[in-house]
Amino acid sequence: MFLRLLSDIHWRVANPKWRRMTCSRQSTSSTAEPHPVALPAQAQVVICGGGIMGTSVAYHLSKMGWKDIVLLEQGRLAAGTTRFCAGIVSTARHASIELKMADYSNKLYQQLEQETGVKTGYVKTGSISLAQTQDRLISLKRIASSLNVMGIPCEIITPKKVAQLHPLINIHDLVGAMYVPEDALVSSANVSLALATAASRNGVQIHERTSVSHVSVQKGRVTAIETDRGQIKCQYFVNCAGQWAYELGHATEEAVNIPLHACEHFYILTHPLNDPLASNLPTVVDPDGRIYIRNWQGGILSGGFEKNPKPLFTEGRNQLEIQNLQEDWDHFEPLLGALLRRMPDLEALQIMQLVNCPESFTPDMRCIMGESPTVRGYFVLAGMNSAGISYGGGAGKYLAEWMVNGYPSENVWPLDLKRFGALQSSRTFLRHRVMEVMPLMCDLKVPRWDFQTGRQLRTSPLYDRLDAQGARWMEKHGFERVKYFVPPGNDLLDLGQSKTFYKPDWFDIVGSEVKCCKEAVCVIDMSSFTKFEISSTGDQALESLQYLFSNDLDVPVGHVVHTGMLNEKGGYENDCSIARLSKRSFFMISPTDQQVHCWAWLKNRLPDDSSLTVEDVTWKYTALNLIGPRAVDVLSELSYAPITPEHFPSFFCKVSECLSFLLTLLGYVKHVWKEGKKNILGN
Amino acid sequence: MCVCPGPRRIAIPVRSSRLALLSDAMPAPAHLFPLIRNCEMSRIGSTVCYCHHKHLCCLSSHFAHNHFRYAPQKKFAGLYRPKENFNHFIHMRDYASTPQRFYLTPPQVNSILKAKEYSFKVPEFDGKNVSSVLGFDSNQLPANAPIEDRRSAATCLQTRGMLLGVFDGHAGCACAQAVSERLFYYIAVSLLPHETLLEIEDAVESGRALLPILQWHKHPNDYFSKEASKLYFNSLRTYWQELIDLNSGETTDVKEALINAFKRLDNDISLEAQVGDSNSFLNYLVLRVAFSGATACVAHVDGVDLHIANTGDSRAMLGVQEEDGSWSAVNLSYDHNAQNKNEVERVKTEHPKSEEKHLVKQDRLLGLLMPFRAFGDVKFKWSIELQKRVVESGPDQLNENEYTKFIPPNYHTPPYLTAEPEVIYHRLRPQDKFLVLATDGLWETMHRQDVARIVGEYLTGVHHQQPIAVGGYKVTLGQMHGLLTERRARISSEFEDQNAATHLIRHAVGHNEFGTVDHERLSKMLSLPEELARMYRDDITIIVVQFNSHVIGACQDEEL
Repeated sequence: MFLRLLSDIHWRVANPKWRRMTCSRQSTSSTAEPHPVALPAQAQVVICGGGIMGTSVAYHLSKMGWKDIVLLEQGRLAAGTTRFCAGIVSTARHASIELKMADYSNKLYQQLEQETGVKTGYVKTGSISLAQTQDRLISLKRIASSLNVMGIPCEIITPKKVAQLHPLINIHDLVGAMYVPEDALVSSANVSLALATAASRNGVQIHERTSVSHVSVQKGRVTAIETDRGQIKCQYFVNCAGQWAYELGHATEEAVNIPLHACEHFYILTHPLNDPLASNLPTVVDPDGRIYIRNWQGGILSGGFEKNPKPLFTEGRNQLEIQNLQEDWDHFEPLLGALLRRMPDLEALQIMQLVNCPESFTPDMRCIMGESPTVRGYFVLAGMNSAGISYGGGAGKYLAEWMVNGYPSENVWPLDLKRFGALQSSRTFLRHRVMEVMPLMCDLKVPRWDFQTGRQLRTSPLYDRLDAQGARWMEKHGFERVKYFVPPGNDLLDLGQSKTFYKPDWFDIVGSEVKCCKEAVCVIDMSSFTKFEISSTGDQALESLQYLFSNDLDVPVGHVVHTGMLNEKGGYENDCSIARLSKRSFFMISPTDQQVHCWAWLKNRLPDDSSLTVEDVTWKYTALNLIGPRAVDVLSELSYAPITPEHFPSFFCKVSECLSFLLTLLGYVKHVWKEGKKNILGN
Repeated sequence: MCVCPGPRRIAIPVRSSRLALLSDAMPAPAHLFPLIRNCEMSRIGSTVCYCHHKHLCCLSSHFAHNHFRYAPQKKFAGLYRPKENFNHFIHMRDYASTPQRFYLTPPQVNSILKAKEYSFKVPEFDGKNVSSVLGFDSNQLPANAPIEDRRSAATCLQTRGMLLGVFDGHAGCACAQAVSERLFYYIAVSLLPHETLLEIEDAVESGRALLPILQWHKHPNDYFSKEASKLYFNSLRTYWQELIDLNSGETTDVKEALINAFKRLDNDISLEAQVGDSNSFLNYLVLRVAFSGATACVAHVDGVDLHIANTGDSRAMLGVQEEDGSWSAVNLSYDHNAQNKNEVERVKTEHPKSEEKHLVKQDRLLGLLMPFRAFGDVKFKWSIELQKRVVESGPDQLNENEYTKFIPPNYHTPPYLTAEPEVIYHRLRPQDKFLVLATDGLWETMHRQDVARIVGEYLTGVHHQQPIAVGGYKVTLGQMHGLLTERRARISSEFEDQNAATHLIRHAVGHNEFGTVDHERLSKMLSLPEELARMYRDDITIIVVQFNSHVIGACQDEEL
């Protein structure tokens, strides 16, 4: 019953082209019917997933002029998470790229009904985010200022003003709130249908009840897909399978790791109030109470992000059909309590239903988009962390630009699939991590916060020693790196205290460490840095690197060049140092989180030549950065070879005794070849 | 509530005083209320009773009220020995006339139940946990003071597998303590391959650091005796030296290793007592160990191979989840007592026909001992001459002890008792979810089927509460919230235990006729003074081992 309520029966109203094309069915009955229209044998792009993401990608691709597109949906269009989701379009986001996506989506949805004729239920209601504490208010102010920079109207308001905007809110425990008047509500399924309608008018073929079983890859490129209705040859494949994206990613010859995991998500629907709520009443977000509340057909819709999430589908899909998920009232109790504290007058309101709508979450709370590092032509857009409707338009646009132009119009690195390594795709890791991520949706987002679960995926060989020295760790690309050392006798410093917007307790510790680097000497473990070796039998290595990097690499052996990896447009892809080890081999060092990106970039652009080899040697070296004015003194103690500026100038490297070699940048970085199996931690 | 006094392991002939045995077998400080420590007592005193005297008196009044109803008064009069308590006893009479209800609050009950709980989780390596054991929970609830049960758990470091055991002592805790410290070393050594034994011997010889053999998983209060460690080590070393000399070249069979280890340890206990020690403390210790006794129930888990070695009347039980999700119990040990026909038969065949009618009397061995197999208990193993010689040459404490001097009646053809275990092998299946090892204190109060259900439901977190569904009913948000808050309060009281063994003890001690935990009853049982506690229950020691069905399933698939 609920399905009908939320998405109405606009199926027939619009009577879009794909419906005439695919079948003559006019009812919403669920009996399987034959597919009168056969799948095309080939297409330029195949999109898998008919939710908000798939339809948005199809819409934008077709707008940008690509016509030969097939969209496949295993069930019905917009029948998965998209249909169940709460339909709140909110621009109050922390990361600026997310903010831009949400802003674009809002503007897109606003004019979508006019463009397509499909009712989207778009109502500009505005949203109020409440602060119960001063820290929360700071957090809201931070968002408000970035919204203002973007030109999105928004203001910090007093509790009194909150009461004027929304009659039901109990304001007694509030210290302030943020009001974003442009935020909106939509019927998410209908937005998706509208996008599909427009795409279909632009020539996109939409096939429902068609599931993708396999993606064929040849020579690192997508060539075709297999469905339960036959094969389609294609150049591009877009995985918009939502919470099934992980599994679909593995249904290829060369697995595409898409680290996301589903969690159950609950919201409650009520009957209308005696005096039905106005449809333009602002949406309320109470992050301290972990809930959101919107008006819904005269009543309310309220859900939240609990502290004890219930991950599901760990072992794979279809243990449970989405539609059959249980309502779990006991689990919802804390959120219901928070709702009644916020709006005590709702006590007498009659419940209609508790909806269990699984959402997919990613290891770092940001969505996943972009091209697979291993398979060319394989694009991904999934893992929306419960904000699919807010991001849908913008994310679809960026991905479409990425496919058509080779790069999106904004810097989407924070969302790039390549920010994850293979270690972050284990199901156990994901299950543990999403249980931490989901509650964080409502937690304060202070600077330099680290995830606590799924740690120690990769560690330096020095990990234990450093840990014994009082190291406090952060994680980058799965690699444990030292943030700072707790001085002996300093009784630390519990995690909670570091969670502040003000001067954190580690500030002075880091200060003295920096001072030590500036005035004396320090050793920094930089083993996490990405290290590649590029060598060839002839001059191929030099030639190709000269093409890919901006600085001149034809330097005498032993020199180090700090340079950048450029793209076709001359843009910067990566910042790195390259040491020339011999005439024909180069050693490249780049930032930790560039490992996957940099590898894919090199692999895809180096000539296909067997005499040219690229090897990822990150594992083989432990890097120690000896830094400070007295670094030279320390080195000369350790080495027989003279280490003076004359013998060892800046930006110079040399392989010294015991298989270690040195190179100078700002300080001295010493790369030590790891011997024996005791250093191989990755295995 | 059980009216008769709980069965003692060893019945003492009328002429010997039960109290003498209690206090002499293992001298113990006579706290009146060891379970309820001062801080809690003061809280009780100030909030529950309006009593200006020491809070003890209020408490006593309630108990006194109880045991006048349940037990012959005479026994208790004798039990209140310390003089200072006698005053309270007088006071008590004043209060007994007014019906004063006193209960421990739930937090107080919890602090008593959780005092000895211990949990161990086998570390998980990013989902690649290869152990078939997920972890275990263990706990003890004393009835004797001090408790006579012991427990041990350890991971074998030089071979694969994990060892877990419960030990129920009688006539003091000395033997149970010694067995809990030593038995696993004997088992581990019996399992070691020849090369490792050589390596260890070589290390000892040259004074190098020993390879660690066991990694213990101990509750902080589970102690090892430091004084005897050298003596114990030397006995163990003699054992492995003999194993080295005997090198048969065959791979070690777990069953055989377990039997050998049990027999060898019992033999060593006996020998150490005969030889004595120049150190008078140690000399007394080894004698106390030998003259007291202990049963043992030990599990060795290695992948899908589960061996249970049992001596005495503790029990091992496997919890099996049926396909429909219900729980059933599979016994993995046989009790060695008078209820076991095979055991009675075995004892009878080992002794001449003329003794037959004296062998088992009143369901006890020689009319005295409840378990038919046990460690220590040299009174049932040594010849009369040997017993007399050792007791006479032994320290005075031993000589003055009625119990040690007493020779069982009709004692003609020793030994009557053995420590040889019965070993049962079970190949773990994915439906085998957990193993419960427990001393008879648990099995006296609960049926194994109930144990399987309670632990099974606890581990899977299945609540008995039906999930709520709104369906077509008219429910308001406020009503629903009230209902949910109430349900949560109920669940949290039932599932507040973080430890399966604690959960089981809560049920064992506090369950009422409907099979649910009754707080009032639990509170009464736990606030019994220690002199009374033993009348209503025995020491309870429980280890619940949880298996990893995924690993077990995978092992099976590999082998198929």
